[in-house]
Amino acid sequence: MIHAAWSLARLKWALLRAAVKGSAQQRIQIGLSLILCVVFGLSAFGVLSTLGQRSASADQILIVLLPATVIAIGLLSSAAGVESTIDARHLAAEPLTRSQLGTGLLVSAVVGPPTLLALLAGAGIAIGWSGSSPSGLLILFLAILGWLLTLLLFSRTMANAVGAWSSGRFRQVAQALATISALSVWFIVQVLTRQQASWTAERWTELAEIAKWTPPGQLGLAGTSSAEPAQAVVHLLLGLSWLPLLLWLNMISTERLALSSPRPGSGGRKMRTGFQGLRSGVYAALPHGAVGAIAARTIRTKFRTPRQAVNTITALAIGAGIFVVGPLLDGEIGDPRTVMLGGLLFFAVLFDGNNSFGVDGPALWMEIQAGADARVLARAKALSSIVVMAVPALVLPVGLAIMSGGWKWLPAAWILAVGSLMGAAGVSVGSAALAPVAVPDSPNPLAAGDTGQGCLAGLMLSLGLLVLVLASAPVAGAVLYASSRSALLTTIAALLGPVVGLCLLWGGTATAVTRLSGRESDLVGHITPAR
Amino acid sequence: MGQTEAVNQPVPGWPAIVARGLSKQFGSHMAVKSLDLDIPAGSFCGLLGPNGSGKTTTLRMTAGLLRPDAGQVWVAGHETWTDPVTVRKLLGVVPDPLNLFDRLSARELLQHLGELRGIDRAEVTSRSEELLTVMDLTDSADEQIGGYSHGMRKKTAIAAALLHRPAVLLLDEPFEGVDPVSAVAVRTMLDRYRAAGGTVVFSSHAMDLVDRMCDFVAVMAKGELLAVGPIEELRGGGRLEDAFISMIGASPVDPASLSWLDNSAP
Repeated sequence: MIHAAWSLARLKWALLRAAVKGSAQQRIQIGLSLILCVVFGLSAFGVLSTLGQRSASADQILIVLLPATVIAIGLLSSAAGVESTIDARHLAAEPLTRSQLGTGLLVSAVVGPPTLLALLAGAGIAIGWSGSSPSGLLILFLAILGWLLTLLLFSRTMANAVGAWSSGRFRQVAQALATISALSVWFIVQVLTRQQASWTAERWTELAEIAKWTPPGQLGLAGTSSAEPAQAVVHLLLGLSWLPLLLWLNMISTERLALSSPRPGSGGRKMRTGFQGLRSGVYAALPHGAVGAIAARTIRTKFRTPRQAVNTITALAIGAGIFVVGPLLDGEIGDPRTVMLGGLLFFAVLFDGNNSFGVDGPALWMEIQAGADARVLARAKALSSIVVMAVPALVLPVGLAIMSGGWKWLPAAWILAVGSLMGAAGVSVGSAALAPVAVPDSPNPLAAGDTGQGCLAGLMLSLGLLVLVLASAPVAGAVLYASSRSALLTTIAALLGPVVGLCLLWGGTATAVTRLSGRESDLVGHITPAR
Repeated sequence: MGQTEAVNQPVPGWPAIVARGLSKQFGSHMAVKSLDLDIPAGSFCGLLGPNGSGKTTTLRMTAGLLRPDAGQVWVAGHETWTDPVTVRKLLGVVPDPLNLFDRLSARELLQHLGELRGIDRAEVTSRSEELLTVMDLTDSADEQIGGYSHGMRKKTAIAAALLHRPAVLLLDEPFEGVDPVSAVAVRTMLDRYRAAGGTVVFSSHAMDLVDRMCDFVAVMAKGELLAVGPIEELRGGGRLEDAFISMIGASPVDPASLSWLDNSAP
């Protein structure tokens, strides 16, 4: 078992080193991943070491923190998916026992930048909650070690399970799980940030009372009971007690993943050849010709590919939720002018269209071979982004108008929605052309790529948002000023939105065309995952 | 006939494929070394060579799927890298590995590619149905390609390559994984296509297949072109396989090596 673990760890290290020596994009990915892990790790170190030493509720915070991080990382892992640097399926034919395979992949998962983040966070806890007695220090050290092992086992097991289910009979369950996981993380963040004021000592005590019934909560209790070593040891043992079960579940799920289908097909399921209702209307409305054909194909494959469908639903839920969940959590919409925010799906369009060439994968060569050049591809991607988000962008302001009674702001809201769709689609396609990323061939709906791909995608998303915020600022200023005068003036001011949106759409597609023109085959190379 | 087919025609008098100084390097490995190659129009050309000889790289560079480090390649008189759109319209390609849109059905894929190539929708439908029938894909034509077997995927790719009736077909290992019945159908189709003036260039390891189908052969090894010409010339009156092995040089197996294979114990 040790030999297998050592071999796979060395393989992972070799793959990471090969990536560092690989293309510029791979180097950027690894570099970004390393920098972000160190930055977040140092931040966690600083926050935790300070909290532990200075907060009056330090003990309660630790008891809550350990299970909370396990749940959060577990949810993120089911959404982010299995790591593809070493794909378990490639090892299915190797003469490895279940335990050798499971342990080997676990150990290889430790090799990489995220481990730095976890270790720095662990060091922050060690410094923040360390007592004076040597036995207390030892127990705290063991508790942190137990927590790190729990994080690793829980997150990998969740990711493996979703990955294995995605290619089998429970495909839909896995897709739903991945979506719910992604949305849960976002929803929890929304709730936590909105209720900062209520994080009192009493609240921490209440939460600690609940958290202590979980194994990681027991580890937290062990770390805070250094004054009573016997009691701390009992808590420690209770906290570690579920690790064998987690390890066993991890090995089972790894084996299932290794034996899952490499190609997520339809399983012989017949599809309807025609489209009815809204879908047929949407396809009929698209322009004839190459741009319309590729836009239609993009939308069709988007909603048939679990990874992309989940991505679109998550994008929409988060993008729309920014303006809907907040008022719902607050219980009311204070200002009826909020209606105008309903159609501003900047984030949703950017998130959905992020890496729009990469998600097509190497099959894009067929469209290029069939005559689609950079101009056609860029326009088609922008068009598909606009079409997918058009209905929600027009409906959401109506929903907010019903909630707030701000019907008079609806015309302006729709005009702004059109502008935001065009602008975000332009920035999105420009960003997708500047940093096309190969998406792994994985049955997991949101499978992670090589180390650092997520960081690169996140960076492009942030840059895109920054561009949109800066470009929209004058429109926002004009609309805000006009809205203090009259609804009619606001509607007129809102017309600036589509003008700016059109400029961004033109700029984004022009950027994409400039970047890809004559390099269409290189684009296919960039979005072909390494095997 | 669609607009695309009418406008983009081969340049009269030009061979189907002309390569001059075509080179490609991957890291320190030289995959193709300054390749000069002429393949006559209307020929059925087999591209032969052992694994790693540069066949796939050559086909991909010719098709415009892989940018060469040096050299030029012309397809029916149009340079692939300066006039890529015209070349793409003249070509039908089945690459290896096959990368298809897994979430479309075969019927949808053919319809989509036909629309992209500007062929009339009714004509695409008619051609698609005929191709699906010949390829024995009718029963699964509405299932997602992701659920197809390797052979079915290959047949779908061949159908897609033929749909617009290209001037030149580039096929990388087209018969690998295709069942014998479908292989006969594909061969018949390719013969008919060639008889009407089309050019077929395909890579293969199956000597008997190349022997039976091709009238022109190019042999590559270690990124270099060892021989090119009519198949009768290369055969020299003997078997193609013998001529090939004598050109490449059979890999000698020292009787003393691999002695562990003689032991029954694991």
